[in-house]
Amino acid sequence: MTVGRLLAVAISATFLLALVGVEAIILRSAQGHLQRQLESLSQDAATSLGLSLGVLLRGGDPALAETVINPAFDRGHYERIEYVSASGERIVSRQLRAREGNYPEWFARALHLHAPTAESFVSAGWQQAGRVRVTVHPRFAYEQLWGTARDTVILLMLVYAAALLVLQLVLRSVLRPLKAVEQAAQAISARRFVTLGLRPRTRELARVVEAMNSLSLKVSEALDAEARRAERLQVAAYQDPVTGLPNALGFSARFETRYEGEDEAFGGVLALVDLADLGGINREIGSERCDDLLRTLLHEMDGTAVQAGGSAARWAGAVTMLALPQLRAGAAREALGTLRARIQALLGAAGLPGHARVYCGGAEAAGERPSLQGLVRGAQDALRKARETAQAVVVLEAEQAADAAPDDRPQVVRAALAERRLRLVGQAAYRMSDHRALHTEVLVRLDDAAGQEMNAARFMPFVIAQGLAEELDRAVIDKVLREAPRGEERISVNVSARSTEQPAFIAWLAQQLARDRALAARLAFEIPEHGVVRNVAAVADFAEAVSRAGAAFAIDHFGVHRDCLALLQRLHPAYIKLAGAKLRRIVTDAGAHYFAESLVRTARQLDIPVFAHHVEDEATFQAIASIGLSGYQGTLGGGPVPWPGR
Amino acid sequence: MNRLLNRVPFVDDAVHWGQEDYWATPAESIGSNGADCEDFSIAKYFLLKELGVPIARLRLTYVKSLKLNQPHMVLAYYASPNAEPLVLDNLEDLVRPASQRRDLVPVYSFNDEEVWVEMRGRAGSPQQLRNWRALMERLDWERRT
Repeated sequence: MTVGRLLAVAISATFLLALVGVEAIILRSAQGHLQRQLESLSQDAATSLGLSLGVLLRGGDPALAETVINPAFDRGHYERIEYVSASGERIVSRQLRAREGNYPEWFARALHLHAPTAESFVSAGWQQAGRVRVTVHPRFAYEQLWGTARDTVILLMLVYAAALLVLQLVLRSVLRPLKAVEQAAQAISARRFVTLGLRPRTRELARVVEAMNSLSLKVSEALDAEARRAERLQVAAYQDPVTGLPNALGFSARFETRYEGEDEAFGGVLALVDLADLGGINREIGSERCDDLLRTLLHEMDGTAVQAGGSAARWAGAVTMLALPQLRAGAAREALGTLRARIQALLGAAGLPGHARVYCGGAEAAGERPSLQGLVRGAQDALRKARETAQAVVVLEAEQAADAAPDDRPQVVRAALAERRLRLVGQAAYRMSDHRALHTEVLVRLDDAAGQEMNAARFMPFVIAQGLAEELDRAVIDKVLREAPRGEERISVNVSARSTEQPAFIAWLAQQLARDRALAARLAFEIPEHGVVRNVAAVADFAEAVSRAGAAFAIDHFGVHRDCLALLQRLHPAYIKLAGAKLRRIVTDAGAHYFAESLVRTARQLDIPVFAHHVEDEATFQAIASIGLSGYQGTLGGGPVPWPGR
Repeated sequence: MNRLLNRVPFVDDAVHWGQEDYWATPAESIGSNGADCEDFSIAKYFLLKELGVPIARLRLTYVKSLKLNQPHMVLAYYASPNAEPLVLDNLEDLVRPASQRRDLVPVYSFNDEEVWVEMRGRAGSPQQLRNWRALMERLDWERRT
């Protein structure tokens, strides 16, 4: 019950009591007054009739009596007027026919008025001439009483209506701040930290607003502090303090995350550059100048890597790692040669030509999904070979067999998508505490013309390259919406970040979801973190549209990008799934473990459950259980199975 | 009886009771040794009533005294409803029939019976003949004390 309604009921009850009380008092006093009026009226009439009859009857004509009585009777106030002679004979008797008064019958019964009768002697001189008897009709009194009752009820009802109206107006103005406070509380629970600008005149409400503002500020400060701490840890764990470039851990995490997803496969060269005499340089010019020099050299190397669509990282001590995804072996050899010459020139310019021993070793990616470890091993082999053979640059080529056949996969994927040879499989995510299935992530497979199944890792790079991501997403979502079984099962669908950049796609999705709100409420759309950071604004629009339609938005492969915690506050995902690369390291690396713990704590403060991918063994499960994750997914719980099931 | 009561000296209400018009009970009239025309008539009325005379035969009558040329009150006694009444007057010790009292013009008369009209089972209202009502209350009080 609202305060308004409560007050209205209280006012109504008070008014009803007042109405009954006031009516009772008014009517009882009016009733008594009218009763006395009636009595005196009857007596006065009897007396004056008696007097006038006495004067007239002295002539001895009883017929005159009627002439005197008629005018009085016809005034209508009397029920009966009788004139009885001295011997008891009724000479004149006039009686009013029963007539309806202008008042309801029940009212007359409830407030009874006596019809008084008065008598007066009639004397003709000394002679007794009988008596006159007058009974007054109470009709006029009832009419007056009824009018009074009706008027007071109408007046009180008008006052009542006015009171209710005033109450509503006053309440609305008094309670307006309360509404704002409620909205602010909702905003805070939705992790938007707002400050109320209004100052209510009611002192109690002013205090509530103040408390609300201070709460909002405190919570937002606490969250900020936690996020900053996590960010510092993230930086410390993944960054080289001297050059600001990623360290080996940071490089691996980025590399694995970038290529573990379905968007891209690494098809270039991974190279190591060794400044062999860094120790000597350090001794010669001191560590401070040496660090300056290192910064210059490594940014030079980073420039080369970026040109090739990749990045550089300080791998260990004097060794720098370069990812050159767009270069094949020959081009890489050329680029590394140029880079080496540039480094030597820089060292020469720094007055250190004697220390300009630089070796480069690279390995070309082979196969569809080259592993980072394999590539690193290859690059290390090449570097060793470069040192041993005093060959400055060694790039090991991938075996020719891998891409001997002309690559027709782009056409195969295009055809499969065009002909909708899609198949869906589902992999459940389970709750940590009781291993209950929380939702099913729907994955997609394409069949080639021969019916051979391709998983996402195989076809996704071609889908992206040919700009078919949106088409694929539409096809998958359409299929999921059509085939989703009824029931409670929650379903999550992967969406490419590129699709969210298309307003038409967002509009189409909103329209699809609007057709079945119940199903929409069971759906979540996952976008990988590296896709999200590419265009946060577009993803924010997407997230908003999706949640307006009743579905949820989630971030997959989370925890690699350095601003990832800011994404939680900005996008409020329904849940996040940790990147697999991250997860594997939690088991072994204390820093990664600590960072993950901090991340989970931040997420929990924002009410965002954290899931883990690729949980394949008990050791990993124990590790993630210890940092408080909400759920997991992986072969430990069960691999992908055809979806929907029966 | 008429003569006996007429021995009480006549005193005007305004002098005697400090009121324009005061109807005294018989006890008040005799006890205070003073009365006016109403007091005499009332005293006589109640005395006769006590002596067993039916009140239907008694009427307190407003008259005009031609001799004094002022309103006056007497007690009339009717042997039967149509009979000529006897007049008991404080101005004359002799009780005479009305026909012999040319100096009095009767105007209006009443007695207990009329004042206490039946009102559908209820006693008469205090509004009726205010003076009579007050008198009856005092009488009642005197009787009880």
